Amino acid sequence: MMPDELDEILRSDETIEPSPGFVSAVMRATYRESTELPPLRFPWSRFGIGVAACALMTGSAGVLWSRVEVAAPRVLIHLASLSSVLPQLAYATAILLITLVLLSLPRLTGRDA
Amino acid sequence: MSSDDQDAAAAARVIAGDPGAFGDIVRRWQHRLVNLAWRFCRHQATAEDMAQEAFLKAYRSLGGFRGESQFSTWLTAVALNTYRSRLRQDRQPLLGRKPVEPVDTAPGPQSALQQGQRAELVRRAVLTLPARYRDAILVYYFEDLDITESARVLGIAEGTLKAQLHRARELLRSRCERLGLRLSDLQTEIS
Repeated sequence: MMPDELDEILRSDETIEPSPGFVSAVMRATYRESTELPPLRFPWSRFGIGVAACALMTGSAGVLWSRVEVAAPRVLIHLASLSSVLPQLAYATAILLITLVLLSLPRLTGRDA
Repeated sequence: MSSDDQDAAAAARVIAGDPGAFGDIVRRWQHRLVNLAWRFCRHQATAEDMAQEAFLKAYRSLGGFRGESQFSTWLTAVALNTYRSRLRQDRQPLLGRKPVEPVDTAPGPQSALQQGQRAELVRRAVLTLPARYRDAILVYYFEDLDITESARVLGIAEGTLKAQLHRARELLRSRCERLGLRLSDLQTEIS
């Protein structure tokens, strides 16, 4: 196959005539397209309000958090003072629990004391 | 008023809200778009369907036409992209539904009748080329577009197009030989 012959074949391709109704079919589709409701737009205004609200909340949370951080050491000091009486508190809690168990035994066994 | 001026005026009317003005554009360019589609599918109804899709896409994107290139170049590029997408969606050449088969090239009484069929097989073989070579061939030989305009339609550099055309011809020649086609047989019929 010679390149020139190939050129001739490709250049001599036949052509077709569009159908008589082609233009009207395209125009019908075009009118349909132009009369269709435009697609819903992205709600940028509401999106902006949402972003602003989020920013406000984040800012507020930041301020509150910084205050909590200031207050936190005070809480830790109170907890540290309680740690010195922790064994006594543990004994008192244990005695209280044993007393409650002894008082409940008759009821649990079904006999009056 | 030149064709480009008429197209620009019609486009301006469409953008201003007169969809009826698009009819002028469709009437002027229907032959080109349908025939370009025909080269991609070799089937009239499918070609018209593809061309309609291309016109609708052009209608939607008319606002994006800046007049940097000729209207015909812009419209052909829109159509080409539409046809490429269509072929990608179908995941096979539309032609692939009708396989290309080797032909008997022995001389005989039916030989003249077969000349046209052989030429058609060569054209169909173009559609089996890789997409970039297929597009280069179809656009370059379509209505005898020159290299510059073909490259603009394809959105590639002129040098790239020349290289693609060279490679496409080589591939096409080898495929035709595998199908048992000799171009010298076809030359008689064409001339």
